[in-house]
Amino acid sequence: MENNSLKVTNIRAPRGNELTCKGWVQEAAMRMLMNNLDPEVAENPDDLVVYGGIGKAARNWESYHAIIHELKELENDETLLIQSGKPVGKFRTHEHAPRVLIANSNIVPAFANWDYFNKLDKEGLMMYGQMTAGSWIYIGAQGILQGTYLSFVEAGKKLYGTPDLTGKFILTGGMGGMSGAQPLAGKMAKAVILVVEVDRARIERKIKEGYCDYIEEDLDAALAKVKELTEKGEPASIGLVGNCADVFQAIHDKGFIPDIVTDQTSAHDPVNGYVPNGMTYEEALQLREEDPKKYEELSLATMAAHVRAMLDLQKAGAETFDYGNNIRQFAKEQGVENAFDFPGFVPAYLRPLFCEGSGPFRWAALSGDPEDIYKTDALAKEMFAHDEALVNWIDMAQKMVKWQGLPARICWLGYGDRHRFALKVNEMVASGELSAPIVFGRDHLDSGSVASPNRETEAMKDGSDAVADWPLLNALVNTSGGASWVSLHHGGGVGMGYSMHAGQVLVADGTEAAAERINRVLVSDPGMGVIRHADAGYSRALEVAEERGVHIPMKK
Amino acid sequence: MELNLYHLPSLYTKMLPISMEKNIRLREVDLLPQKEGILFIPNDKQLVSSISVAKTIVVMDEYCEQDVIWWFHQGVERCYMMDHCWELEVTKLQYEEEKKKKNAYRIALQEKFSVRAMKESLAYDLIHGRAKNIREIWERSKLAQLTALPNTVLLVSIDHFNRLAKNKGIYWKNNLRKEVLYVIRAQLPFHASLIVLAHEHQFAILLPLPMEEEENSREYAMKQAVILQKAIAKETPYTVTIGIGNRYDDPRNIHESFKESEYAHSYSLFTDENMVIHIQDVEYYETVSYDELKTKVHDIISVFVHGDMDGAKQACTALFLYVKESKVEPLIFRLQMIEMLSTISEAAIQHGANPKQIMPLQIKYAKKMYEMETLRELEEMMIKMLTQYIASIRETNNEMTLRSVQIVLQYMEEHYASDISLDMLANMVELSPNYLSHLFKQTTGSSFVDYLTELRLKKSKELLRELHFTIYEIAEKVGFSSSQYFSRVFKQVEGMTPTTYRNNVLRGR
Repeated sequence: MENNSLKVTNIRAPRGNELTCKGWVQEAAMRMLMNNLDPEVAENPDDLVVYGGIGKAARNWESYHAIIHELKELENDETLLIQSGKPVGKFRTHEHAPRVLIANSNIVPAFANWDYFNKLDKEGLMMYGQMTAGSWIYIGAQGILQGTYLSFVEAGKKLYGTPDLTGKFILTGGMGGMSGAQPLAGKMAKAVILVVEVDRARIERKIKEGYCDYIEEDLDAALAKVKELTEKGEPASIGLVGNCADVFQAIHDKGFIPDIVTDQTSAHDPVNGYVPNGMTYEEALQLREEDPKKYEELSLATMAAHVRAMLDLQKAGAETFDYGNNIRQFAKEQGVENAFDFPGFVPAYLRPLFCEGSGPFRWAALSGDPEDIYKTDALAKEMFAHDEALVNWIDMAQKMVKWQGLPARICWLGYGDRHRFALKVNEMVASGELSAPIVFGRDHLDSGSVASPNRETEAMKDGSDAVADWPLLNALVNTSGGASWVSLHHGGGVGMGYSMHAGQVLVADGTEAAAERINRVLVSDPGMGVIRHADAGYSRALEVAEERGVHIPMKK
Repeated sequence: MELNLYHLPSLYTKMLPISMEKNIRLREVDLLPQKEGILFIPNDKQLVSSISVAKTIVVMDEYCEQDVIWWFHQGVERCYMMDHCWELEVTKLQYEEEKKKKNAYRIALQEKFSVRAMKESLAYDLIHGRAKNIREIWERSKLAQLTALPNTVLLVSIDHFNRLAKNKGIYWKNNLRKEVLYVIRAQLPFHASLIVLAHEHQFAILLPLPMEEEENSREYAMKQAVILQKAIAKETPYTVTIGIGNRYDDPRNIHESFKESEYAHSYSLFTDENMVIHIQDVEYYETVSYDELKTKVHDIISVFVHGDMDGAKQACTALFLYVKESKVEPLIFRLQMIEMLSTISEAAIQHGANPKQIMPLQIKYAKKMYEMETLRELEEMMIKMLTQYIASIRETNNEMTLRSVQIVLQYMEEHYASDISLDMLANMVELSPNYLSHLFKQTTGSSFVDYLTELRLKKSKELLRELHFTIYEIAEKVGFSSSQYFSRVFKQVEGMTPTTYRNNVLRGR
């Protein structure tokens, strides 16, 4: 039974270069756990929810406090074990071993479904870690912002030969923790983006955060605004209060066909995430509380209608793709046979980048000083000046992205680039140019760290979509290489039973030891992406392996 | 203090090439007059900065411009060096230092005002929504020496400023503002707040409410506002009303907080002075029913056009009471007041007021209306306006009103024997009974009742002289209600009974 008297409000990670733990790795783990629950960062910090409906940082408040305590006591040659958000053991390992090993939401495959998970959750035995929630490397909306922006930009390149989407109309759904990045991402891609969201408060929150420009309650008024802005070529974001299933269909029926259609509603969780149509939002919340079974039925039925509407829009000419919330799968189970007629965003746009070991690399400044991030920005722009998209992204992020919690930056870097960059940053920490260590991490949605047949590994060339050895190998090699903390999760992004994935975080504290770890972990980690895709037969991955010296036994 | 430069090439036994850079390598000195307090700058560069008491410097190794300036400031008087061109450099440096000393005041002012200018420009850009670049905001906040970015706006408004500053010059107003600003600055941490003059009598204060207080933002902001308010009331002769906006953690949105603080402040229309109003406490007021307002305005018009000031005041009070109880939105009400002024002005003109008097008054009061801070002040203003309108009506209506009195007199002359009342006559000439009574007295010198009585008595005397009618018949003919009443009134006025009067007339014949 949850002991709410232990609840802490307004959690804020300590800032500065004073240690409160016995080493910087432990300190970093503690600060990043707390940062995940910072009110600026977390969706619902009172319930330990970071993002994605129920993605949590700790199983309960008792566990949270215990983790903090253990991290403060953890020696430099010990390793703390976290099982679904609860600290369960500590062993002497060695100083190069990870200080924390995390396993979240893993259930034996035959039992891996939401019903069984919910049963375990109710019994206090389980926690949904999502991806970066339970692995303490969530950096707020910027993390998904860049990924979403990149997808739009890549879609633009594919459709129009240019990443510039001026005058184009993007239609999508969801403005929650992760999906809340969509309005700004679409605007950064220079499009007019209409985001449908059932909870008015979420739109208002995004407007307050500066991520969304307008709010509308009337579809015709929203479409009139879209028309006006696209004709002017003025990038903007509009939040429309409504249910996607109804609105998408209405837009199709009105003949106002978007250029790009996607969706980021929390469809991965039909009970605690997605909202059925045919009732007000308040009524839906009440039903969710009173009759979750009925709620789920209606939710799944609405998903089917939602996907049918997306298919109609696709047929009418819109470039339509799934953004990895598993809505197609659920719709298929509800009888929408052709639910997978539109692709996922990964095979559509991101796979070529994965072949290069490129993925959502990120870093956070433990000092809490934005100056440290601006300095690393300047370094990134200098080192990768040839990468126009990266330079543009950093410029736009500096201008438009408000800090959430500890200042952080994300940008897609690949094999050969990550470790070089991190080494330079480590030197800057050593020289005092940066006022405190930097934490390097990434989303679990990375090139070689995830098995998710409906998303990251959808439509693999060799059909190895569901092969889950890869995230396990990724976790193992990162552990062997001495990452600061390593995590192994199940069900993130797309829900129970549909994914397995691994994460790693590395602390650059300016020491030689950190430099050595960087040279190992930030080589092998993106390297996993190269070998995974080379193994699947992607020629680009094979080229990269050849060019950059990634050793692949049995390479053809 | 002067840095004396000595060119002593003869001291040197070797010549070394001179670098074109500022750092020139000098050679070792073989011979030098031994004097007290000579410090030989050693090869170790680090010790150069440890000079403290030497008055003479011999530079033996590399140095830099800043070292020379530093020695100069430490009181070094003589510096031995090798080359003339270096002398020029040092002379130049010396000159620059002298110039800086002379301009020290300007430089200090520049430093002081550059921070202040940065703070003000940042504040203005934030409250007007012009600052949209996150990085630029952060960098500017550093230049403004802020320790945290603001997230909430308080609008501090000096109560009755317009009244206080009436007929006073710009310096007086500036001093008033400075007095209040001084107290505000004393209460707020310099490096954590921005303060700018938002309007003539209002300061916008941009504050960073702490992260820990996010849930209690409203209470925390109110508390800060009350502290400010009390300090100003204590240390100045003025009071302030403070409007507070919501908290916005994204500095690009702080202009919303500013707008909210202005909106919250506008509700001081319904309160007394010296208040603190948070936007979250302001109910969303519906505009007052237009029909109801029109009715209330009509009530005012129906009495004041007849010159009834008392009636007009009562109707005015009733209007403002209705407004106070009806929860009207302040800005909308002010706009509706403009319409009311227009309607009343039109009515005044229709009822004879001189347009050349009324129009300037209407404009004057429309402008003045925005200076009024409370409903009470608005009501007083309206009553004052009505008084002036009535005076104009009366002035212009003199002829008309005289004519009205003439009509009344004529009617009384012709119908003295009938049952005449003031109300009936007032109705006949479309004036209020009170006003008619006033005019009648003003014109005839006599009250209506006295005049009618006198008229009837006059007529009765004519009939008494004729001897044809009895006292009873005469009373009826001239309009008295009974012969007894007639006799009593006659005796009261004439000093004798009607019978005695008749007998006297007969005797006289």
